[in-house]
Amino acid sequence: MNVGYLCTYTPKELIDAAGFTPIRIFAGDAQISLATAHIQSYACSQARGSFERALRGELDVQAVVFTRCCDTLMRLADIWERNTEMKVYNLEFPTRVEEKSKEFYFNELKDFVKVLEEWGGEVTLESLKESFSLYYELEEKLKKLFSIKPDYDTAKKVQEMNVRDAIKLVDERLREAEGEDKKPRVLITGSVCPFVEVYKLFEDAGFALKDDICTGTRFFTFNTPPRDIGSVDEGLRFLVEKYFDKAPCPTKHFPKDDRFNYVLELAKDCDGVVFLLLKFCEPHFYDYPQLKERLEEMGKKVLLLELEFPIASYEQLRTRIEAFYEVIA
Amino acid sequence: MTLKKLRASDKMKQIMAGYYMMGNQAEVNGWVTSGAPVELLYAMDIYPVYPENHGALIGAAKQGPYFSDFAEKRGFSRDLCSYARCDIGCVYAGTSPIGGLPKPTFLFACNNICNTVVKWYQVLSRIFKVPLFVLDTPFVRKELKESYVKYVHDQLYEFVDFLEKVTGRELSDSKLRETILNSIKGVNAYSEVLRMARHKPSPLTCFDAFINMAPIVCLRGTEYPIQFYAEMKEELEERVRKGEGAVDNEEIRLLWDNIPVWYRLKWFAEFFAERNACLVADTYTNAWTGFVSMDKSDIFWSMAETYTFIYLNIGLEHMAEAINRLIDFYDVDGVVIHSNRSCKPYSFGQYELQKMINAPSVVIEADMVDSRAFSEAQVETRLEAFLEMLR
Amino acid sequence: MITAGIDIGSLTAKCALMRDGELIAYKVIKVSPNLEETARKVFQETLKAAGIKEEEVEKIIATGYGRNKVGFADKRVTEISCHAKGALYFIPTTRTVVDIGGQDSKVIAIENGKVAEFVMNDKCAAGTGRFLEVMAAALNLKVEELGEVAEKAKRATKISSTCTVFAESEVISHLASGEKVEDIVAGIHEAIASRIAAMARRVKIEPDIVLTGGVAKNRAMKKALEKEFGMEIKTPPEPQIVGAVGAALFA
Repeated sequence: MNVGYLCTYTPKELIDAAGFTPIRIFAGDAQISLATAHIQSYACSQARGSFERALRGELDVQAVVFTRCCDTLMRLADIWERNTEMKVYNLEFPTRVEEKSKEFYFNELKDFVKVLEEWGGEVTLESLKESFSLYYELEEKLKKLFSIKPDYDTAKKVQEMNVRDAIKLVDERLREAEGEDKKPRVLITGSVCPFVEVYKLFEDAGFALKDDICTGTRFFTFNTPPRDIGSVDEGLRFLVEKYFDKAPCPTKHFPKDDRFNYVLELAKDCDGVVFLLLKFCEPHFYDYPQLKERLEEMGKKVLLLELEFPIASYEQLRTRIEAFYEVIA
Repeated sequence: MTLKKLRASDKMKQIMAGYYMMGNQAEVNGWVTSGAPVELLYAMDIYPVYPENHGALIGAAKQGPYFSDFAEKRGFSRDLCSYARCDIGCVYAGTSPIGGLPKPTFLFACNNICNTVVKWYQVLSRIFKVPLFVLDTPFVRKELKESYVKYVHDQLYEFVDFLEKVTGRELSDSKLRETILNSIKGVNAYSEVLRMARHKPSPLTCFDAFINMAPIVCLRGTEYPIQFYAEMKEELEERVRKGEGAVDNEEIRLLWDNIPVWYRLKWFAEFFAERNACLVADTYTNAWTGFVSMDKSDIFWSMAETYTFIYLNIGLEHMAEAINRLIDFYDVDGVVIHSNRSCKPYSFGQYELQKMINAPSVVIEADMVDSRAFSEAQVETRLEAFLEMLR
Repeated sequence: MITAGIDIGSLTAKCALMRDGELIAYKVIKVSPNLEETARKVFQETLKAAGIKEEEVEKIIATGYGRNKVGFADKRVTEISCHAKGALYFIPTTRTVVDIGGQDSKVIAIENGKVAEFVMNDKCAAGTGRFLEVMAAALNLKVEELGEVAEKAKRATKISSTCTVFAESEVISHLASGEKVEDIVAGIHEAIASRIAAMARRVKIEPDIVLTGGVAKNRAMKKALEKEFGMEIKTPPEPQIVGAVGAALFA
C-alpha cells in the first residue's frame, strides 16, 4: 500500500517500517478544475492542485496522512476524506516545537503506530531500525549531492518512491554529479515548488543555487545523529528528537525564532535571496516583510516571486530572474 | 427602511468605552486572541487587549482598506487575514479609529481559532520586542483525545508560570474560581439572549447579536457581561410579550455562517428586513456559548477541554452537527454562508458543509473587514435568488 | 394579458413581450451608461416591433444586473429565477440551466419546474463573459468572432491561469512564443468551460442541460462545455432573451 502525505513533518520512517511506501503528494500539471467544486479559490494551489490529482485518479495512494501545519491542510483532510476512497488520518504535529511538546508528539506517534496496524501494517523493532538507517543514508547522500550541485529533479523523484529505490537513484546521480565554477549564488526560500523547471530558470540565468525550500533541502535536513534503539518506544522517542530538530518551517512556533535565524544563517554566503512563495501561503507571507528587512540589513538583495501551480508562464518568471541576475552580477 | 434598534446597544457602547478606557490606564496588559482562556488574565488583574475585536471595529468604521494599506506598504500581502493586516497597519500608522491599542506587556496567542494568529503574533512580538506565549491546541478532527487535553492542560500551568514571571504577581486559586464562575455566568446569560431568537417572530437578528457580542468576548470573566446580557434579555422578553419581531412580518428564518461582513452590517440588516427575512442566529456568536461546566475538580482540565473543543478547532462532521443543531433549534428555512477570504479555517469546507446540513444554503463571497473584496451587485443577486427559491 | 420582461445585463439589454404566455416580440440592444434610459429604449423598440401601445402592457417585470434601475417596472426578479422559467418555456424538459453572463455565470438546477439549487462564480471574472471580452481584446479580435476562430483550431493551447489578469498576460506570452491564434482561442474556450463545469459540480446536474445567454450562440463554447459535462447541451432558438422571457412570465 502507498501512503500519501503532503507535509514533511510526516514521519516517513514509521510508514516505511510498517511495510507501506510513503509517497509525497504534489500539485500536477493539469489545470485545477475538479477541486474547485470542493474548496475555494483562495486556498493555495499546492492544496488545490494535490487534491485535483486525487480527484482525477492520478494518485496511486490508498491512504493519506495529514498534519495540521496550516489552516488549509487542516480543513483539506476532511474534504479529502469525503471525496475520495482513500483512508485519511491526521497526525498532529505540535505547533510549538520545544522540549515541553515532546511528550505529546510521542503519544501521537504511538497512536499513529496503532493506525498503521489497523491499516494492515506492522511496526517491529527490526523494521524500525531498518527504516531509520535507510532514511539516514538517503538524507546524508542527498546532502552530499546538493553540496556538489543541487538537483531538484532527483529531490522530487526520491519523495515519490520507495526509500530503497531512492537511495539507488541518488547513488547514480552522485556518480555523475559535477561541481560548478564560481557563480553568483542565490538562496531560494519558500514553501513547496515541485516544478523543477523553475530551478532551471535560475541556473539558465547564471546563478548557483542554494535553497530553503520544502521540496528542496528542507525535507532532508535533519540534525539528529542515528543511535541504537532497544524498543519500538525508544524508536519513537528518537523520531520525536529527529523531527523536532528538522530544518525549521514557518508553520511552527519556535521559542527562539529558530526559523528566522536558520534563513539568515543560510543567506550569509549568498549574493541574493529569492522568496519563492505560493500565492495564499499564509505562514510564509507573514514572515516575508520582517525577514526581508533583516536580509536587507545584511546587505542582501531580495526578490519576491509569487507562484501559482501549475505554472502558467515560465517566460514571465524568466524575465524576473534574469533581471535579478543583472542586479546582482 | 429603519431598523429596530435595541436599547441594549447604547448600554453596550458605554460598557465598551469603559473597557477601552481601562486599557489606557492598565499597568500590565496582554494582547490575546479571541479564543484564548482570558479567565487567567482577569484572575490576575491583567487587562486583555483584543486585536480581533479592534479589527472588527476598524471594519465597522469602514476603514479596513485605509489601515490595511499601512501594512501592505511594509510588504504584508493583501491575501493575509484582514484583521491581522489592519491591526498591524494600525501599529505602523500609530493610530486607529480609537487612537490605537495600548502597547503590550506580553502576547498570548491560542491557535484554537486558526494558525494565522500564531504567525500574526510572531510578527507583533518582533515589532514590540515583548514575550509571546503560544497555547497550542491540537486540531480535533474526529475525537477529543485525552492526550490532547493533557497537552493543553500542562500548557495552562506553564502559562500561569509565564504570567507570574512577566507580572511579578501570583495567581490566587480563589480569584481564579471566582473569575471562571463569572465567565460561566456570563456565557449563560449570553446564551439565553441568543436563545430568545427561538421565538416566532424572533425578537432579535444575528446583527443584534454581532453588535452586542463585544462584552462576552472582551469582558468574559468579569461581572459586566452577566448584568448586561440579563438586561438585554429583559428587553427581548418585552418584545416577545408584545409579539413584536425584530423584522416586520417575519416570513423567512435564516442562519448566518462565518464572521460578519463588518462594513456592511447595516446594509445586510436592511436587505433582509426589507424582504421580511430574519437572520435569527449565526454560527459565529454561538461559538461563545458552547462552554462546558466547571463540574470537575480540576478546573485547568475542564478549561483545557473547553478551549480545545472550540467551534473552529473541530472537524467538519462536528461542525455540521453543530449547524444542524442550530437549524433545528431555531427552526430556520435556509443558511446564508459567508465565504470569507480572510478566514480559511472558517471558510474551507463550507462547500462540503452545504451537503451535510439539513437546510438549503447559499454561498456569498466577501471579506470581514476588507471592503475591496465585496461586490454589492453580486451579493445582492445571490441573496435575492436564494430568497426567491425559498419562498 | 400582455406582459413585458426587461433584462438589463452588463453588456446588453433585452425586452420580451408576451401575450397570454406566448412570445410576440423581442429586441436586444447594447447597454448605455444610463440604465433606466436603456430599459426605456429597449421597451419602446419592442413595443414598436409588436405594434402595441404602452398602455396595453399590463405588467412589466425587470431582471438582470440592472433590474433595480428600471424605475417603471412593476416588479423585480433575479435573473436566476428568470433564466429557469425562460429556459422551461423554450425547452420544457430543462433540468439544468447554464448561463454565461457578462459579470456572472450561473448553473441552476431545476426540480418540478422550480429552482432547486443554484451556484454562481466566485468574485473573480474567470468563467464569465467578461473573461472572453478581455481575451478577445488581448488578441485583437471581436467577441463575436471568437467562436468562429476557435472552430478552425487543430489543437487547444492550455491556459493555466485561473485569474483573468494573469490569463491575459499568459495569452500574450503564448502569442510571443508563436502559438497560433486559433489554438489560443480554443484554449480560452476550454478554460472557461472547465471553470463552469467545476462550478456546476457543486449542484446536481441532470439532463437536459440548456445553455442560455448570448454566449450560447458561440458553437465552440457549446462544444467545449459538452466535452466537460460529457452530455449534450441544448440551446433555445433565441438564447439571449431567455431571461427576458422568463421575467415576462413572472407577471
